[in-house]
Amino acid sequence: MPSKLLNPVAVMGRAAMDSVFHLGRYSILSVRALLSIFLPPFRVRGYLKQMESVGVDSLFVVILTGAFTGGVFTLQIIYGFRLFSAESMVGPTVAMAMTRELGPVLTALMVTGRVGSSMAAELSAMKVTEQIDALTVMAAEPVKYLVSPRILAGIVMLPLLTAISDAVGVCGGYAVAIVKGLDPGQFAGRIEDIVKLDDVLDGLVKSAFFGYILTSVGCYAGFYCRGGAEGVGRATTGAVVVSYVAILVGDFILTAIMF
Amino acid sequence: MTEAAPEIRVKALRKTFGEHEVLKGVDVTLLAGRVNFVIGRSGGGKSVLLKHLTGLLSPDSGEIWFGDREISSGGSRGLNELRRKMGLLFQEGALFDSLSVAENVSFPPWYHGTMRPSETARRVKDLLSELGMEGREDARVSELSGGERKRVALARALIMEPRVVFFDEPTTGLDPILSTQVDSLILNTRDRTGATCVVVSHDIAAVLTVADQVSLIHDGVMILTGTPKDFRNSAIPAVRDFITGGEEAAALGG
Repeated sequence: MPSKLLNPVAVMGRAAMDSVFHLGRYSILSVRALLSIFLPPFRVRGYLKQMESVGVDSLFVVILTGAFTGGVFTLQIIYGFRLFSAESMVGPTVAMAMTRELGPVLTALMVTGRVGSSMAAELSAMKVTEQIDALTVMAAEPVKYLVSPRILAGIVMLPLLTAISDAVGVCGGYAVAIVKGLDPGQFAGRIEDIVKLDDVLDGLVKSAFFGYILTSVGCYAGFYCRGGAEGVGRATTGAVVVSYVAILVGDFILTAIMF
Repeated sequence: MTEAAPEIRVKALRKTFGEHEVLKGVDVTLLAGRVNFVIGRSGGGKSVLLKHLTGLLSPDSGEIWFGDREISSGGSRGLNELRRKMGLLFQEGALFDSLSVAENVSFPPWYHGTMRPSETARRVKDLLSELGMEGREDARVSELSGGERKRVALARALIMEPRVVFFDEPTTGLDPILSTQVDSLILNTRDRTGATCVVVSHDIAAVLTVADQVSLIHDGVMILTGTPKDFRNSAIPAVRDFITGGEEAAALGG
């Protein structure tokens, strides 16, 4: 520890080199996994199993998050909008926020916590018990067998989960608005005028990107895990932290480009 | 036994991890259709050599010839072709937790699509029965004992009828009865399929009873390759230390 304090330049230099190394290796792994999707043998069952794990099994937590997010967001803005007699803008604002931002980001963060961490833990456990080496020795390409189905499941299922989250969020907002005395027509009347199809689609494109990030980072952390039980724990935590940061940074960049 | 042809030739193999040079120019020839033991002390480089032979590690320099093909510098495609002719029994089995016993054993033909499902099912049944695991096809890996895992892993290694079977410390952690069973399995594999067996171990008793050829790796170099008799009669101090250490340990244990 003292040497780290005394030599910050060396520490920063090493951290920079490590970052470049990991970024390069991550890029190679994720591109190989993406390309492998289109190469035989095609094991559809493995892909469907991962889609079930990423999509169906995350449904409850995504619905819960979406409903409460829409509800609490309505609760927050309804007071301010009333001050300006702009109650009719509550519905469109909730719908716009859910489709463009809250739906994609919160769904991705929830799925990262549930699925990204479990992918990192599962693959790192396979790594430390030599199961990945066993696949290699059997000439069963581990990237294709383990990583490709997970990444494809993330890319396909996140937009579907986000669409559900968007819809449930608006419904949650609607319910809260009614409870707070807003007229149903006031809430829903202008949504169609203000929220365009592009807003929804751009949000879904973002969520596909987040699905790629959270699955590829989880797989990378597990695939290159080192050490025993401690390494598994480190890989799992690292996957979640890196995914969260990457999703938030990626969200900023994509939002700046799209909207 | 008749003179055996070379199956795997290793020439001047070197490997360094960080500052630590593990293999310092290993030369060895492993014989086809024979049980070849590679022995040495823990940390002596046996497992690193085995990982090179199966293509899990690439050497810093040197050559590995599998028949007439050099594998250490080839691409993964060529290596994967050769791997279909290899089977590896990992020290801990390396079975897939998410699959049953039968699914583990049938994984290689299922993945490669090289056998009809009915043929695969028959082979799985035969192999498990041969290895004393009949009736355990549907068991989960977590329900198996250490010895059972080894047997299932061996069945998985043998299902593609490999030309070479590698055993990574197959008797480590097993009781004497199971160790003897594993030794019999190795001999049975050689006799039944004619496969080349490469056994990485430090089990002196197995070396003297099972091996056709013994190679001793010491401090990153191969210091002896010969028959068990050559090994037993060697005057090389490191070999003598290994034998007497093994015998003393056996005496203490017995």
